[in-house]
Amino acid sequence: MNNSKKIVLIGHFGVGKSSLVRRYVQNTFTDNYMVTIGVHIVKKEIQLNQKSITLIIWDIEGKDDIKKVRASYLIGTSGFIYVVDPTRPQTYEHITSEINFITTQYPKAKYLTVANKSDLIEPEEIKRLFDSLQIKIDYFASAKSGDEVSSVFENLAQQLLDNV
Amino acid sequence: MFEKIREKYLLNKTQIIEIDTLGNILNSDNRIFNLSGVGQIYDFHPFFYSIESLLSLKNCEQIFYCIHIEHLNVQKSVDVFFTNTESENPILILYDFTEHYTNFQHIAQEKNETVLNFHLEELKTKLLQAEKEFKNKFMANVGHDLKTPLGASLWFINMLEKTELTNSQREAVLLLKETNTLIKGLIDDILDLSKLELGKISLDENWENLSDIIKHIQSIITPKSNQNGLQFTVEFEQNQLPQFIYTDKVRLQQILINLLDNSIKFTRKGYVKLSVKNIEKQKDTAQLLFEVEDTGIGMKITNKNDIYNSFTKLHNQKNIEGSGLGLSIVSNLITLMQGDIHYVTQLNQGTTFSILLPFKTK
Repeated sequence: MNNSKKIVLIGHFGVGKSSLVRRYVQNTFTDNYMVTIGVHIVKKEIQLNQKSITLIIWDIEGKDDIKKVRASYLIGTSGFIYVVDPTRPQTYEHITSEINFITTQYPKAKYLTVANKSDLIEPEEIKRLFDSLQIKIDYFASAKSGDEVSSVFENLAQQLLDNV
Repeated sequence: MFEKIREKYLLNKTQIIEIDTLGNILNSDNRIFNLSGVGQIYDFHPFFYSIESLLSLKNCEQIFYCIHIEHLNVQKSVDVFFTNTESENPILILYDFTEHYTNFQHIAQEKNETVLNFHLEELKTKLLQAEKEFKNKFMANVGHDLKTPLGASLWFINMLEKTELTNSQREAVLLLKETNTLIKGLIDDILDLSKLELGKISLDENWENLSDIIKHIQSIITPKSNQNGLQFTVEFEQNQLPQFIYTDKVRLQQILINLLDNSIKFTRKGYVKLSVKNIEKQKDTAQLLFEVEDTGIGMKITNKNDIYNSFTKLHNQKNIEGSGLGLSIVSNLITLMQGDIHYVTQLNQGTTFSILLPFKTK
């Protein structure tokens, strides 16, 4: 088996986890919201700096508390992408404790925080919002426009490659 | 019999797959997915990469719920049970719960959509409020900037009027004065409306003689209606009405004069009438009903509340002046005074506006 790594997207329902995956893997987007139950898993092989890596991307159903996520879904996770919707404060109000949970329970795993739907808010405003709340957001992405979506996955993949 | 039932209803809902510790498929009963020709379990579906770390563990059991798997155009939502005993090869059992999970998906969809739509409506309202606030601040700023030079201009026109002028010069000055007065009225309206919508107008209430208020309005409206060949009547039952009401006289007059001005503007022949009635008299309070009725052109209404939106003009008659701000100001003032406004209208027959306002009385 080649170098495969499991990445799990987590966050509240409706923040756009499935849309980010769809944009990254299929380069498509739809405005029609389709709730995810259970988990959809897709595979994507990429090359980074002459190294190949197979990302096994787990798009799991949205939960407002990471502790409610089925533990079996998180077995063997190498990287987490924590997704929030900047227009819905309840999707990021507990992000700090959620990230603490990840780093405590999965100390070897890498993680990135992503504010999706950033096309809905002015870039300066969205940055000011999270700065004022002292929340570190790694990427301001948009599954709709495609902005920064590839960067999110590739950055995490690079961290996983560096971690080997 | 049980075997037949099991064969028909249960066996096709489960699949057993035997693999080795490298993930090679050794056996499969292919009840749900046809794995003929599939070498490794990882080639079947990427989900199975997640059991790779479990293959070396003996006496290990794990269940994974609601995994969506598609293979050779067969789509199923399954629970996957993994077991690895000391003596046997690792075994995977797939349970097909597609129907159950599809039903669950519909319920979750409905629930989540309700939450998201509610949130979307909240966002839209916030956006509209922000736009409205911006518009009002913009109007207030522009209004103030225009008012100063316009005041100076009117002052010069007044000075010019007092000098010796030829007839044609005097006519020109009068026209200039009328135009400036019109613009001043419009700017005052803009400032009033922007202040009202920003909540920056408060009522200056005092004890006022109701009869005096109505007489003042009559003195302003009668010449205008005469000029337009209209009959203006006031119905005021003094003995049924309180003598004093606690109100902002200027704003109450502004509401009624605005409505009466509109009636005169949109009435070609017939009459304009103002009536005042006491609807609910308590010891120290009263609900007064003011009605402004005309026999004018009426309105063709598609949305009943549209007429109170600023810049809404309900006619396309170019010879009738107006910014479309009047009714919006009236409506905002009435809200500020905790009253209600309604109207009935009929095209080419006329319109009646009814305003119900509460007052302290004595």
